Amino acid sequence: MMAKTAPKKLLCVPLLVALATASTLGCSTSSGETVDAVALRAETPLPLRAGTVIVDGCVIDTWQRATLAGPGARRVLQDVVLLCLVPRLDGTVGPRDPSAQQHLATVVADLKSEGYRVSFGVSFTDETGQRYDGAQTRSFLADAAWRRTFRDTLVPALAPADGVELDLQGLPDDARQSVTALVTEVARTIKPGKRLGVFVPPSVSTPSDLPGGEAFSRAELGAQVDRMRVMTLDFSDKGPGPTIDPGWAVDAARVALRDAPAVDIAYPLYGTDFGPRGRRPTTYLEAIATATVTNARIEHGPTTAPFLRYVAYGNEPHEMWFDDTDSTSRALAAWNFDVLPADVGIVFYGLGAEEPTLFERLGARMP
Amino acid sequence: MPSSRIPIPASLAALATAAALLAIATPARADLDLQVGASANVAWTRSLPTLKSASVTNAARELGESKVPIGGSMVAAGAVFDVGVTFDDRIFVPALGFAGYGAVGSYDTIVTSADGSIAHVRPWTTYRLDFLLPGIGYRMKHRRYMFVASVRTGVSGMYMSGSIAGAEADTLVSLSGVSALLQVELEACRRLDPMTRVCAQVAPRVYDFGFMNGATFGLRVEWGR
Repeated sequence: MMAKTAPKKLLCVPLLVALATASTLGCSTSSGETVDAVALRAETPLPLRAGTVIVDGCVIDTWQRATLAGPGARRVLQDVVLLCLVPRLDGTVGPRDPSAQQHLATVVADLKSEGYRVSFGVSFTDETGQRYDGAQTRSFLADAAWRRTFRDTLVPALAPADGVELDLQGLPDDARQSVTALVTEVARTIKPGKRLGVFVPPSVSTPSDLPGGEAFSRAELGAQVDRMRVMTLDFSDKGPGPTIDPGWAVDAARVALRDAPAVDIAYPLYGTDFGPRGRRPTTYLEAIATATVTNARIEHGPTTAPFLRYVAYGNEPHEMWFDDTDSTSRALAAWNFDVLPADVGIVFYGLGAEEPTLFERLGARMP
Repeated sequence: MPSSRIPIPASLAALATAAALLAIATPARADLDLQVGASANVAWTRSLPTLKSASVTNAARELGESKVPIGGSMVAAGAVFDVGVTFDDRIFVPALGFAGYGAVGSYDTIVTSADGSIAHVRPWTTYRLDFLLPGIGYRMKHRRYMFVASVRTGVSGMYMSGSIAGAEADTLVSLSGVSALLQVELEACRRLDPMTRVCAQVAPRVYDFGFMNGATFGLRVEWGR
């Protein structure tokens, strides 16, 4: 009997040892491929949030118009901001000439007929289109007469639009009182008939970690505006890198939410080309064309944003970072309702620079 | 003089009756045997659960512990050691046990998120530890063969490595999770000698980080009567 069973027992023991050893040593490997987790996959609905798109200028070209007319964009976006108005040296808000105002009224009417709510953005730039330096803007805002002219001339300029967004940048911290005064006075002037929004820098701590971040008293501004747009853009402002880090953007939105009830978080539609002479904005199609022309391989950074390295004219090494539909939709999926409350909206910045199918594909994932 | 009556709840009466019947049916001497088992197991997890990442600091942010949803199935291989007690050759009480598994096979990196940051998870680094706790079962024998069905509890831990994306680089991070475990163990054994059996076991996991979230399949050697 023992002679008959012993070999069977002997068979069992090596089997056990072999399997246990295999698991202990680890015989699992990477396939070298990546796959999205369930919540990030293309077939999974994205969190439904209010969507705004910012057009950098007064003109909507045929491409942008076609995008906005598409069902995808109309599903994702409800508001369009034309970053178009500028205050002149004396505080007068332009454009003032009748033909420009007529053009704007026509653009607004077109967009409204598509179902969008339209606001005008005020950029504090000079007549060449360059932003005033912070000290210059601070001196404007500190002048009560300048502010009076600003708001008095803003009212007729806003006539065709549903609201206004104030885009103040590069201010020193000591402009805080003046910024609050301007926003408060504009709110008193235009509300309740028009909506008011303000762009604020993406501070991730209090006091702000950003130069000029303390110029914005979020609690006081939050009480005056309908939406506080946290401009979580240009994350890599020193050297090559992604335009946004989704986690950093969440931190910035949370800091804003401590003070303001209605907050939006920004997502870039444009990319950035970094070269030895500085950086410049770029588009998705330019990035793809550059990759094709220079035979550059498109790589992906840690946040999955695509980038390419290429040598430009004059043998200058460049790095071009941009976003595509995949990186954008991953970030939007990562900003689920456990991470950011449902009433936090998304501001897409730079209509026309995006991957052409972006809004169609995002729209298809909206519940 | 009327006799005093104390009201007895119906459930208590039923319990007492059942106990009395069992006492009559069961011999006074309890036939109690210890059983020791060792298995080589393959564990299939239907859907990898949401795990918790350790705190991490990178160029973009300081991130505390956060939930990392994963998903996707996984196969692991490992070994199980456990002890149990048999009463009267019929009632089987799995007592305590320990199981360790490591992932087997080839896996894709999973792109997911951790508190809004993009994260990458490496399922091929997964290992899991199960602490098996008592349960209850029934066994029956037919000649050299024995069949056992039991339900047992436990605690399961899962660990794997991943990374959280900062703008410039990924930061490595460990992910872990602990779950209650409830599994049904179905076993068919053949006796090799009076004290040794070899068995095939399948154990659907009724609860393991989620309902009906996998099963284990094992080849097992048991010592005990």
